[in-house]
Amino acid sequence: MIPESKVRGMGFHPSEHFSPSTSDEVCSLLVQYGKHARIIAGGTAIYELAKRGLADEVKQLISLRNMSLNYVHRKVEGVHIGATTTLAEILKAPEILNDTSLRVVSEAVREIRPNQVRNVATIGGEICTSLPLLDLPPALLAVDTILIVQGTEGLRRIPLSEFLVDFFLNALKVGEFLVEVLIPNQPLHSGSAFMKFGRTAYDFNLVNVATRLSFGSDDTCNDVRIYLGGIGRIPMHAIASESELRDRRVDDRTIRKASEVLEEFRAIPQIHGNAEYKRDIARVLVRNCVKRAVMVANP
Amino acid sequence: MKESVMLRVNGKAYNIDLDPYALLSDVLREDIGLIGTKRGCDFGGCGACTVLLDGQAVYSCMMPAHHAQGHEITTIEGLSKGDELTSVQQSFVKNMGFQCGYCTPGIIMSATALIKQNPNPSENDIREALAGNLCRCTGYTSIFKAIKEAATMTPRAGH
Repeated sequence: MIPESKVRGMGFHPSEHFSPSTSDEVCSLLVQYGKHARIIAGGTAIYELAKRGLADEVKQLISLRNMSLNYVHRKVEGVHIGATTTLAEILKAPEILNDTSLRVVSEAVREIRPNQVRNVATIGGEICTSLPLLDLPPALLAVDTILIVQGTEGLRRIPLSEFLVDFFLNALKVGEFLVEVLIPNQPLHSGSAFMKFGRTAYDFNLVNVATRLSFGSDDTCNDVRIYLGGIGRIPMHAIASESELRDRRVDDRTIRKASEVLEEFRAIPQIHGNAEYKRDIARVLVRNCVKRAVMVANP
Repeated sequence: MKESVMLRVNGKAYNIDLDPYALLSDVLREDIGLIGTKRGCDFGGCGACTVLLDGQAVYSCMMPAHHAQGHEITTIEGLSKGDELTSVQQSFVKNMGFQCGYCTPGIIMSATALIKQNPNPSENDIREALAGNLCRCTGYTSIFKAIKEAATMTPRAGH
């Protein structure tokens, strides 16, 4: 008999654990149990949420461990990553490591510490937990990631930018689960970078920034993405900063301007960084991160 | 609803009736009686519960015990052969890589995984591998020294 562990909140007592091996089984379990069913993959998030009393309604755990969704493949459209691929596997995948336009993804994964977490936490969990403190979602947003979701009616595609709706809330409907992450081929002459700032290298970020810039033949920036995490309830799309860079030559002056227009946003304060502090850090990170993405694009 | 599950720990098979939410750290300590694996923070912050899953370091306090099925789990008790310590363990003894000792099983598991994957780790590699293990006594200097020295010792068969 296992004694009650202090890690589990008083109300966290799932009564069943399923490890289905087909999508149909997963979907029908999700439909059958509705809000009481929770998908788990690496399992790292559920216990942390339980300890904080945020998983009391979970009665059925549906593990994807038998679903054969651990893979990284490059195909015509881009890089396809199975939803239960671990962060450690992504870090080793040559399809991502050797693509400079996807540097933002490998840099973000490298910043997720420690090893003990990277070895089991999955890309699907990083996305579907839908927490604003995580590092991978902003990085995946910067490369226009598309999610492939399985439901009872079949597969559908959702851009990640439409998937993250609010704190802990995403666009999955009852009966749906994430099966694959597609990072589309990036425009030619693209460079990307990720930076984060936290209390220590091991802590969750206070602010993180993910950027991707693409350049035309005349060296002007023809496409740019800047996303910030740790700021709002979902990763923040820095549209004003992007428009300071798009269709312009990117130099120190334009980069500074792009970081300065960030002043308008309101950051959620945390104990280790109030809103004003986060804004200061965000401006510096945007500047440095854009510079690094430019260097990656034009080595 | 409990489910009977077979787990392989330190080369032995155990049949255990698992709760749906059972944690690997609880099962190792309470069901199997391997109390070398420690519980500290219990949510992936301190590393005292680190064990190896197919040779890779994982937090047993965040791992559903069901997910350990089909994998080889190694705990601190599974390293030595009788009284013969592994090179990592010997090096920790020699270099006093511990003080109170509570974090030591977790740190030795992380160090064992590191040296197996990277036989010549740099200072940075060691720091990165130990980022998830806290020690409140030593200040880490003697731990890093022990790991560096362990990497230079001839690995014993199977370790």
